[in-house]
Amino acid sequence: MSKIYIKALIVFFSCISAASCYGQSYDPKENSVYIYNFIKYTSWPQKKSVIHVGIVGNSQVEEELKRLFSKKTSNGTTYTVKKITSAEAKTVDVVIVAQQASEQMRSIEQQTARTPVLIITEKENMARQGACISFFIDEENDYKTGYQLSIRNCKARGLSVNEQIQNNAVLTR
Amino acid sequence: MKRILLTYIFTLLAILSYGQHKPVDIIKDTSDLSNLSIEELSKMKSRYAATDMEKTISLAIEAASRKPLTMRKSPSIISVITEEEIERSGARDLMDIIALIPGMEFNVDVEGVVALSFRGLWSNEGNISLQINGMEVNEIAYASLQFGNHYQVSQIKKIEIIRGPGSAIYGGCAEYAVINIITKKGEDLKGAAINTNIGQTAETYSRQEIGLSVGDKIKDLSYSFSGMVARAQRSNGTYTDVYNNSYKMPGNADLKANYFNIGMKYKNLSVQFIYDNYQTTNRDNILGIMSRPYSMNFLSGMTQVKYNKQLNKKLQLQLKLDHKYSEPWTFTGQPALIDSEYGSYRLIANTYKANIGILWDPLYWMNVNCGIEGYNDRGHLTMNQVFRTDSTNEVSYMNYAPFTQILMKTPYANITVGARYDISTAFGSAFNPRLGITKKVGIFNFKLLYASSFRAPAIESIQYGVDNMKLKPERSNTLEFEASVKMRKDMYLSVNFFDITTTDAIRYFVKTDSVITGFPDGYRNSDKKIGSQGVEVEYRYKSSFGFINLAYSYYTIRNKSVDDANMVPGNKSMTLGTAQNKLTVLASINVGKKLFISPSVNFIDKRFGYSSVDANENGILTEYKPQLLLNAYLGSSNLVKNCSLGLGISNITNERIIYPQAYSSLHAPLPGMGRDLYLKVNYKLPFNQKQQDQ
Repeated sequence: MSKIYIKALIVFFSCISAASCYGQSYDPKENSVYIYNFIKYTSWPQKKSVIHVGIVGNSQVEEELKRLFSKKTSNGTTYTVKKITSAEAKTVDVVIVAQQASEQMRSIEQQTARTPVLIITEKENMARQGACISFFIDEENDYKTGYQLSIRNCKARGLSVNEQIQNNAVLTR
Repeated sequence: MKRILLTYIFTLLAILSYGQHKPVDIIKDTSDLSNLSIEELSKMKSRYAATDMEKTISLAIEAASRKPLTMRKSPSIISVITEEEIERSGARDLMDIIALIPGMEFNVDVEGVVALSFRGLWSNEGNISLQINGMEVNEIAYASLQFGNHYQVSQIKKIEIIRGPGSAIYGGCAEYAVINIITKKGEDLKGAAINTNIGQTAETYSRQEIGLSVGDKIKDLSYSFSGMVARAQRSNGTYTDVYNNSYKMPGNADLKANYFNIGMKYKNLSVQFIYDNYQTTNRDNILGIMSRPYSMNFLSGMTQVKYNKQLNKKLQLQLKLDHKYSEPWTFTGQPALIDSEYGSYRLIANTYKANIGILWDPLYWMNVNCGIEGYNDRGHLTMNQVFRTDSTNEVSYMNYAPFTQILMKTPYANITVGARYDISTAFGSAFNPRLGITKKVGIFNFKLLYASSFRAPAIESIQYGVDNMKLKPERSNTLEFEASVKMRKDMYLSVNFFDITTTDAIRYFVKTDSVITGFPDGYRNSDKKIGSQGVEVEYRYKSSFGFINLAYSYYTIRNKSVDDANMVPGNKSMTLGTAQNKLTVLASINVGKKLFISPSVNFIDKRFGYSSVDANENGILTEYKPQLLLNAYLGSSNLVKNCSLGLGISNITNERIIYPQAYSSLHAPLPGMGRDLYLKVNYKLPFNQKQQDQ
């Protein structure tokens, strides 16, 4: 019996070690439009004429957002997109945390706690680490992109998100 | 042989797991999304090109929880077999499909019936719940099942197998496992279809089946009809009893099935009716071979009405009414004098069941389901016979069962807590709690599961207790752990461990025991704590070439006891009639654009049973050598427009297949089918050919 268990475990873990590490499979084009809408329907404590978007880590969303924002304004608001480090998180209005940079969330949270920074993560279930919005792939719904929204985290940062965002979200803590 | 096979499989796994991983597949299009609102984005089709494997593991499983969840989120150990896998496997009947499931094996019972053992434990009477679209088809008198040329395979859309207890949801017929067959609905059929399945061995025909189905969906109304008439042979071999008497099985072991299923759904109301008339023929009675073949009939008619009403965004009302009519194990002929042990029997049994529940989402992270189920089992013995205990020909039992289930999505894990409390006028009460914790960590998924379950004594076991003994429900506690990994987008591996402990096991004393013990035959609760432990592995790889499914299972009873009826004398790790190791491989490889070939392997390790007796009529234990079954199926899904056909050969090497008895009743192993050449044809007539072509 024990030999069989050991064999089973060896096979299992050898296969695991061989498994390719792939992350969530998002369409950057789709995500960038989501992000544009999140920003559009979020209210900051003070009206912004320019919204600065910072991206921590490498994400294909960066190029898509730049392309999108080059042709978008909303009520006279313009947008900038740049790559930042976690230490620079408090210098922007929106932080997008790339999938591979998710471990930097703790540091980003420390930098931006209780400041009006909308934090959006590509990794799911990041509300406990301080994210306002986290993307996820909905396996139960034909692998569509969805997002989790933490109203509590938004409020703690002085941000309010309108019904458009709330109605289509999976609400989380 | 076992070691060679294991080594081969392990090596294959290792090689396959080192494949190159492809970049993320996103459906490429040039559409401009930039002007879409969030609402429009949410309603948009998925942009992610999920692989067939991902679609399979994300199928909503209905049987494991009161709220459908994906395979990985469901709080049970699950095997899913899809329509495509069934079609490409060339399965001749449900037995061929279940044979691929880890832990499940077939054994002979009595009167030509072959039924299931699971994880080394004989599971025929109320241990495994077999359902069609959620309707339990176990007969009412003993809660038993009958396999072999039974149920219509061509109409199956999906089979969900819960390899673990299901009493917290389904009550006293789901102690060890649940098999839920989901058939094609109107929206799946969208037309008419006719199918045939014919097989031939060197000695006799093996199978002759013709089936028909019609269905469509028109606005809110969906309807379907499917039915089959089939006859088959259990074996083309020779049966030899423990006294060394023999008979040739062709013509003496017919399996006949007349079956149809009608379903209708209008908005939230659905109605389903199943008619199932199954017949075995045999000459191998308990005390030896009979002078001529006798037929045993199993008739069932089942109706279910379901209504779901969404009361508001968070609250749904669920109503379910069931009626089951059952005439199982019926023999109304006149036995020849020499076969007088083979007595007449006709029981008419009915079950009336009502279930009302609510599905409620009080918080975004919580789902609650609770309600109550009540049912009434009634039995009526005809032919001037009376039940043994109550000395009457009418019995009636009531059962009430409040139930609840709470699903919680927490930051740490998904947690399922549930329970069902059955109160019966026949056997007292049974409380069945369950706890399931599932956690996804990247590509990995973990499940830790505990459930208490039970087997309710059925009408005949209640009425046939040894010395009028009032039977207690058989109780089991099952602990399971599963780790699975989506190794690549097209590859999935799961490993699970289990530990089952059963107390008060309901077992049958046969006449041969009464000679030794002095008891009359009948049912009793065993005083042993029986059970098993083991491991099961499932590996699935599905790509453009086709697919490979591999399943391995192992059990031992080394740390458990075993009832005398199931004991292998001198062996502390196995039970009678079951193999400790089982390995199955099903592959399907595309050959060009229109053809595929599906080889499969079914390896069953050595087993023990009784094939002969000594001068004092004590059984002589026999070791049956491992069994290796090789099959191949060449098929085409569209070689001729709207027509799928295939040619298969089962048991290529003409291995001697046997179904040993899993308890000591001195029934020699029943032979299975030898080399069998068969043809399957399925012709569809879509109501809308254009739509079908698209």
